[in-house]
Amino acid sequence: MSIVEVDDLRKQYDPPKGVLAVDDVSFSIEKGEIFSLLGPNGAGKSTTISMLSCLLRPSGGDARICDHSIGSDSQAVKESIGVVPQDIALYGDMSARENLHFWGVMYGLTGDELARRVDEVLELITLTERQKDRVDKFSGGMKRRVNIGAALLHKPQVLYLDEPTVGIDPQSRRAILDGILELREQGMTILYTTHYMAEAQELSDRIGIIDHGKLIALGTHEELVKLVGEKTEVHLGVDKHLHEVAETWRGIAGVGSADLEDEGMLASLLVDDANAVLPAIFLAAETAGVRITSLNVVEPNLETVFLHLTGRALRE
Amino acid sequence: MRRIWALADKDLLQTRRDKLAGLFTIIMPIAFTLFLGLIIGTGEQAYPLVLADQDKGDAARELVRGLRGSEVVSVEVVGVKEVDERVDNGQAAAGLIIPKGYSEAVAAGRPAELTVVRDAGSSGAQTAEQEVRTLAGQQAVQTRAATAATEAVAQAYGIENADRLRRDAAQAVAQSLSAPAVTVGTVQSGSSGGEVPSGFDLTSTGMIINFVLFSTMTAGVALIMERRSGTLQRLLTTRASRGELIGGKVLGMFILTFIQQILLIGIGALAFGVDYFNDPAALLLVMISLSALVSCLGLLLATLFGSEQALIAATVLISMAWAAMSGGWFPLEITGPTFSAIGHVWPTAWILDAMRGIILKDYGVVDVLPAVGYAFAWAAGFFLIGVWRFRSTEK
Amino acid sequence: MRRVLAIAWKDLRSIYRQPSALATMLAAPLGVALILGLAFGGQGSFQLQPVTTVVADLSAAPAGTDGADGADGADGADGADSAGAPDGVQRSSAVLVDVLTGKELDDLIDATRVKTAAAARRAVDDGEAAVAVIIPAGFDDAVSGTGGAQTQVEVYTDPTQQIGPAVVEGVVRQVVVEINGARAAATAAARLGTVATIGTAGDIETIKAAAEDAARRFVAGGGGEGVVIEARAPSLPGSAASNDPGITGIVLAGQLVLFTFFGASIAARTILVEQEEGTLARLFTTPTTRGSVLGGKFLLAYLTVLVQSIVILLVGWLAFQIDWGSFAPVAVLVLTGCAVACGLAMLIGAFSRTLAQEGAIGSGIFLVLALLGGNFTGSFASGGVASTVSRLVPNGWLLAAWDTAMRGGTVADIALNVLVALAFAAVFFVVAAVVLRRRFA
Repeated sequence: MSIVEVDDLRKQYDPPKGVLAVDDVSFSIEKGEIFSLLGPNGAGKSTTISMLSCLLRPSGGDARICDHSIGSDSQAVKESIGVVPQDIALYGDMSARENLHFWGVMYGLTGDELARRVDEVLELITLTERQKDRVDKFSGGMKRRVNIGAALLHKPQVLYLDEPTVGIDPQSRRAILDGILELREQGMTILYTTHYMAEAQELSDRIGIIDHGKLIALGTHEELVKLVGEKTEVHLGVDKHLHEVAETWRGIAGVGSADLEDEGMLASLLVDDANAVLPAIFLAAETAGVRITSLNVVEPNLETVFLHLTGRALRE
Repeated sequence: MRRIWALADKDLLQTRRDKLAGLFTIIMPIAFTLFLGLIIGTGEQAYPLVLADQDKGDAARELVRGLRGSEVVSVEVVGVKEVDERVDNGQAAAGLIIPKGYSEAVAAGRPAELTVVRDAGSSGAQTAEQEVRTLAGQQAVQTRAATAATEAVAQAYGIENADRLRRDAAQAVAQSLSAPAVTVGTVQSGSSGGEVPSGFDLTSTGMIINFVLFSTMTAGVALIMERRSGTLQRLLTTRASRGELIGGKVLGMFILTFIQQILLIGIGALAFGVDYFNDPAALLLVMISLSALVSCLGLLLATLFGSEQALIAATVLISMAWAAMSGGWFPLEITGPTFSAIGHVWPTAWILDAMRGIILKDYGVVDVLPAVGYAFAWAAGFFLIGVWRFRSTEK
Repeated sequence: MRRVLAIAWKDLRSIYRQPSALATMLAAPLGVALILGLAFGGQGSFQLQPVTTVVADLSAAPAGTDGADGADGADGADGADSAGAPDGVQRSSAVLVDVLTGKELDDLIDATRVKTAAAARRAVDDGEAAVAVIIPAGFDDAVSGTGGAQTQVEVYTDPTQQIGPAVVEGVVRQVVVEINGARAAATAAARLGTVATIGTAGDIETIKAAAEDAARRFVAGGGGEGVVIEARAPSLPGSAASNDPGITGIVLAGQLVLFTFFGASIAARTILVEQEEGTLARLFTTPTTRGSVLGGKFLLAYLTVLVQSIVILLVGWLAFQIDWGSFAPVAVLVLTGCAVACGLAMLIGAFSRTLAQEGAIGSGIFLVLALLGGNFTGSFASGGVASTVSRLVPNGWLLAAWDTAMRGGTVADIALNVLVALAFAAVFFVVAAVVLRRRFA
């Protein structure tokens, strides 16, 4: 049985005519898995997380977290989850340690266990030396780390992270992503929302693509790519007109199509496996006396998957 | 100028949309003023006086009759134990106990005792006590006059049994005092000549000061919220100059407080007959100076404090202190001369005096100019400091 | 319970670290009490500054004139043995002038003399004096005459002042009562003399002498001291002789009650602050129940104002020498007052959406409650309507109870007030809890 099971979850604000923010979303997450909800801003990611956090009451459907229903057993759900909100939600006039201590109490920790966990989390987020400093004096990245740490104190079975890397520097982002991978190694189940394709691709065991409240695709990265049958794009710039060479390229096994642009000076090829066909492409060009001046290989990615499924770019 | 108007308009729009805050900036002062006005009424209220007559003699009954006929007190006769209770729990302004033997002492020309029960700190109690003293004193005068006449005539004519003389003297004295040779007439200066000003004439102006001062909070908080949300910084990246930004903020606050004054003055004038419009030009000048003062103060406070909480705290403190020391809560005439002088350091005291002068003393433009000038001087000071703070903090 | 305490403690420390909060909760009430104490001279009652008065005595001028055109008012004449006054009796106008300008009433009246009625009125119109007393021409003749002519002393006042003119008017009336009394004595003696000599060859001189004698006797105080009035504070059976809390005590009690409202609102405001900063939503994602969160906020507000109240009481006792009363009623009142303040603050917070709203609404409501309940005027409430109105608001009941406690009352004496105040608090809290639960459901 999955640790998270979401079943036709629905949320409409101000029914009957209000916005349908989440429209019959269903998915499940296995224990120890990182599951990403990928979608543009306003897709319904945060609304979904809010319902799974028992902050918002669903308009329809249900979800079970660790076999507890979000509708009827919210207290038990909250004991099983840790939530890292999108915006920093800490007490600025309190130190890092004081913040963690307080949130630990809120999660039910007491006494020595609480103190120990605070130390451990401070170590995990590498802020042991700054533990007595007020949070409002921290950099954005440091605040994010405390923000995450506060959700880990009680060792939740499922961790929700709602776009945790928005607006921070690349180094801090890298540190957060590494930390998440480390948590997965420790067996934590993670529900991660993002609009960054690269993050979803790097972190996730499975990805759900959400748009306009609907889950439009679900699977591993490879499955999603294959789902839409995208090939690798190879873009070549040359010093001569390519019409004859293009015909030759079309005949190479593994090359689906070859289109010319810019009066024959640019070629775009769709291929099954770039590594396999590039030698043949280069040989054909050399034979035709055409010199290749630029090469760009674009692997199929979620951006293209999204574009294929919705007709829009992920980052519009 | 266009940008200044646009900025002010935006602030007023936000205030209008914040219905709850607007309600309490505009509606509540009006509602409270109406309520207070209805309570204070014409100011001619009779203070409740509870009375226990343990004597029941002629003089006692005479005194009770006199008190019942008074316009200053309204008498209720109760048992002696109730007198202290009723005064203690505030149901009566004062209590009077006429002890046994009062009438006999009065008739015999001996000192007659009365007991007044009151809270010394209460103005109503003091008024009621004074009325008792006045009427009792009049009764004593009658007795003294009758005794003096009796003794003089008895001596002049060698009359030994003066009882009948005493009765006749009392009648003659009463008759003489019923049409006294000397009366006292009170006349008020100014347009209220011949009228007794209502308590609301003076209270209404105090209320305006109180509530307008509190409005600095709403206006100041708006600036702080702009700073917090980042829109202020964004404005600073546009072509709008700092001067235009400040001008727009101050103008918005000015309009808000001016509207507030219009409403409160309108209520006072239309509902309670307060003569605000004795000199409309003078009134307009005073209103403009008050709004200018308060809006510049709001600007200054908003530049001094970084959080809503701090601003609210400062506004509460300043508003209460100024209102108290300016005569908005109680007349400065009942404080010592030092306090009254200190109170008149604040421009709000001058504005209050000017408003009351317009209502009660036929003040015109020339008469209010000193108050208006003083208020504008303070406003200018606040404005300059506020601008300096704004420039140095909003980089 | 642990979560409730943790929430309360977290915010309590934060609040008492904020200078603005400390200023509102502690500096403000003590400052206002200090201001008002200075205004009213500390522990005593009102200290009225001497009322500037101008006196125009036109009595020597012919009746109907205004003192102009050379027919000036008497200027310094003592009036003794002037026409119309019996031997040994001062002229009536001089009596009035002497009373107003004499040293005995120096602390009440600061009087100067002017020559004409117009000058006297002008002094008031120009704000140089609060009152003008104009003794009309022909005054003494009217007093001493037998023709029944009446005369009127005009008291011309500045309408923007109430108490000073009332004091001067009171003095004038008292003197006029004495003048009328002397005249009545003389008139009565003359009538009695006339009656006594009916049918005999009585002489006018004897009657006149008797009349003059009667007037003298009256002025000399013949006939006794009149009425002696003992004025005292109310005392209730079973309680000790009442203490007089003094103006400062009354005022500080009023400020204590008022500023606990502000103190509680600072605490209740943390709900809005947390909502705006996102920590409230985060709290709701933890196993902490909404009831615990709200309970923590209420406990925070209660502890905030409890500390505030204790500090104010201590400072009042140490610095202003205020005797707050016996421990039991004081403790009961503090605990009750805190409950009322918290309930009210939570109610306002429940209906507010933003900090700005809460600040504007709360401050306005507190000001109105204070004005209705008498927080600024204390026991100046004069009974009647004002007293009734003060019973409509919880702080009115609390202030009345504080007044009783400071005068030596016991818990039993304040029981009704406490119960009513607690009822208010209960209603506030219940409504606040319902609204907040719905809002954060």
